[in-house]
Amino acid sequence: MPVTEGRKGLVNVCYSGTGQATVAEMGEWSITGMSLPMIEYSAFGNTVQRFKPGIMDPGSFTFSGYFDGSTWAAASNPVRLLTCTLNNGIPIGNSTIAASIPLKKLRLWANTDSDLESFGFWGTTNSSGTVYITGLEVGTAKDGIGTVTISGKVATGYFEWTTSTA
Amino acid sequence: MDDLFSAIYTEFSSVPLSSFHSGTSGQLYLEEAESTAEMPYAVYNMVNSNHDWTWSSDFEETVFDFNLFSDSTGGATEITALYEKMKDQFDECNLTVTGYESLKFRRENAWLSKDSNAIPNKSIWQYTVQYRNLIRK
Repeated sequence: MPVTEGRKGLVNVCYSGTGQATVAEMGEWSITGMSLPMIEYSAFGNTVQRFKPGIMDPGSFTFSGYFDGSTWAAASNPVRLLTCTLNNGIPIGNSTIAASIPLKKLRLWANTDSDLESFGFWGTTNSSGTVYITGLEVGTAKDGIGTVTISGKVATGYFEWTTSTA
Repeated sequence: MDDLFSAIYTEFSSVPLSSFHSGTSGQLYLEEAESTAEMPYAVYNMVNSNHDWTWSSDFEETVFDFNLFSDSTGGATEITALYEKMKDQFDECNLTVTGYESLKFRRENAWLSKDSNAIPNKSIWQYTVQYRNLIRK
């Protein structure tokens, strides 16, 4: 049965060009809020309520893990770049790319093992999808490992599943 | 795990030798002391080990017990001094574990006991000191 096993998950970002990088030390991601509201259009005389679909909410996402600041100074550090997109209100996507923050795609992998049937990731639609980073939480407790949680919102397009690495 | 045991002994015997090393005459044993060992000496053993991970790292969290033994007739002076020397050497020490990054070696619990029946006309003091180790690769 092609179910996914969480051990082989991953979060990575793609740069403008061909580069991509793993967001280090992550251990959990989720996509929530994808929904299609239904609009009632019942009229006098109807015996049951009637509904039409409204406009889809493409949802939000969150990923979290341990904070790794060891390569923070590197220009390509994914967490640093994601923080920059938050600070500057710049989307991650194909259509709007800031030269200094060249993030092109965000991919939430369910399974990175191509030998398994469930190999693939969730990512925004390639042609027009954009996401914004809307939240950053970091923390350190005296007896633990520093953590980071990054959240975002799909702005255009929607998340879709693909088994391709392209 | 063998590398972790070795790392503890390497720390113990690192040069310059520590006061804990000289206080035990270099006697730190894994699991069981040699039959010829003379007190004071120390024995360490693994209590448990847990594996954890992120998508890019593996973590091993291991709890060790160090048992310090003394048969001094001068009361608890020798064993408590040995405990202080051990803290000086091992508290938050940076173990060198092959293939891993050392994140912590933290003292968590310690308790002192006295056995008056183990050897005729003699008491044995035992200090058990528990450390929690975390390594990543």
